[in-house]
Amino acid sequence: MADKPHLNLIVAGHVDQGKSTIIGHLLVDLKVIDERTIDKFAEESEKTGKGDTFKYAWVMDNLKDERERGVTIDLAFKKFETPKFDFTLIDAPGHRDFIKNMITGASEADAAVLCVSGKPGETEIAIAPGGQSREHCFLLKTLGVKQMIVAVNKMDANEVGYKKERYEEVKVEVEKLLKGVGWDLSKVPIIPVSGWKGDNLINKGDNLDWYDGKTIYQAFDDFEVEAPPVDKPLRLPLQDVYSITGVGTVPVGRVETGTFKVGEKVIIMPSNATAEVKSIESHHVEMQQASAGDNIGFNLRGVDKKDIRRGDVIGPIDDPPKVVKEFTAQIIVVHHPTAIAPGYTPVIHAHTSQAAATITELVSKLDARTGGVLEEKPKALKTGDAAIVKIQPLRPLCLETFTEYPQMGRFALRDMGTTIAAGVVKEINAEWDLK
Amino acid sequence: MICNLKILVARMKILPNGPGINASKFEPLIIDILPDGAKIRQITEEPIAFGLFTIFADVEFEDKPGALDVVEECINKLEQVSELETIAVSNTSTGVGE
Repeated sequence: MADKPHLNLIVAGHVDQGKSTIIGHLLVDLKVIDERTIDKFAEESEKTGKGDTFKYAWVMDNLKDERERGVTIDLAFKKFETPKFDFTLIDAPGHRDFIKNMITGASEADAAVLCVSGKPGETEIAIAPGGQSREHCFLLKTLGVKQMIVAVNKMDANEVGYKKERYEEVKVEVEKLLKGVGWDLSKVPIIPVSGWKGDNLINKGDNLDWYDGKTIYQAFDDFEVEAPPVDKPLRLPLQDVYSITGVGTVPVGRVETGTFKVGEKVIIMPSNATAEVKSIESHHVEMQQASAGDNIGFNLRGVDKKDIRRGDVIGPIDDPPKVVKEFTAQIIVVHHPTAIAPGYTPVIHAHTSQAAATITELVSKLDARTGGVLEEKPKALKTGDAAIVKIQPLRPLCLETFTEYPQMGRFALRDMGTTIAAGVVKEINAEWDLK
Repeated sequence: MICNLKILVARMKILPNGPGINASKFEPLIIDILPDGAKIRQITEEPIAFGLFTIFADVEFEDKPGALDVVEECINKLEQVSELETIAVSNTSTGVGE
């Protein structure tokens, strides 16, 4: 297993779209869950009179009465493998609280499965304004996830009857949604499945003869491992800074883009300090050069611990990290008790940094399904709204545009312990003059 | 005991305040200070540089508003913790009803 590339796979979907059943059935069929536990599910299933397939619903803890029976299973960060990859599964909780962690966290999702129910009524709820599938499509994109599979679930439901016509109807709606958010449709397989019966999870089954595409499991191997962005200019956000006896100033962080070499002179923004890289280590081994994706600690000559801090970003002297005074962003409001109006000042969290920031202008409200403008200069934004806004951090903060540096151009807005919005930097309008 | 709360697990990336603090030194410190309803599921380390380690702690907690903040605050209070960030949160299942 050790030689295969590793991908973090996040599974998302509106509540009641059958996400739990899909995950459970997949893991059972992949034998990730041990036989004893499966047998216990089967036994309990028999007692309910619902038959053997019911066991998959037991795999996840989504129903109160199931949990009261004392069934135990462990799925968080579960690992499984395909012929090409090792996967770690992240079953995204419904809580919007955790969006900030997903955005600023170092361990980002590489790929996603979005579960959408094919059952009439349920599909529409999930992708309608306010539906979580719509929000998830935007958020996954914001998280930097570039690869996704959409599972059109519940094809076995009586109202669906494994019919191609219903799948085609749902597919059209899902495609509209994906296109609006900016997904490349040619790279997002939309697969009809039954999480309950197992059709098209690993094997095709006999009920979807009209479908000639890949199963979910087969489609996993079409994911690609993206080459680390080593050709871009250096961007290295600092996670922490130490002063180590006998060594000196030692910042630690992850190289997001570019390369970082011993002997190089670098600039640290917004602290506006310059320094020379004296040595670099990763896994306690000295190295002459680090590149995008490496977690490193390094010794800087010419700068003191007190001069630089977490949230600072290191870059080349001739192409320093941008320190923004005002930027234009596309955001989605994930939760706000009332409405957001110009002047609202939450805290922006981006890479390892955070600062109070004022939303100075609401430029336009967007239709998240089409990307089109719904309203110019809206007076306020509510939960579920997507919008273009202008934001001014109240102190110097390093940010880049999402198109140039995705890792440095996404952010969460938080207020009173809650994530209010997630967004990406579209344009930098003004920079701080730190000279 | 019957418990109807969902249990989540958060993967926390912790930077200790100096060299030499690894997972085995850290684990008892965290266990001591975790709030009720939270527990360590797994703790690992990744060596970085100059004797520094990054600690990865998977912490289970009840899925209720603010619960993750409470866990983060408790761990952050340890003087050995310099920086902490939760890098992933996943649903899990648990031995409720036992």
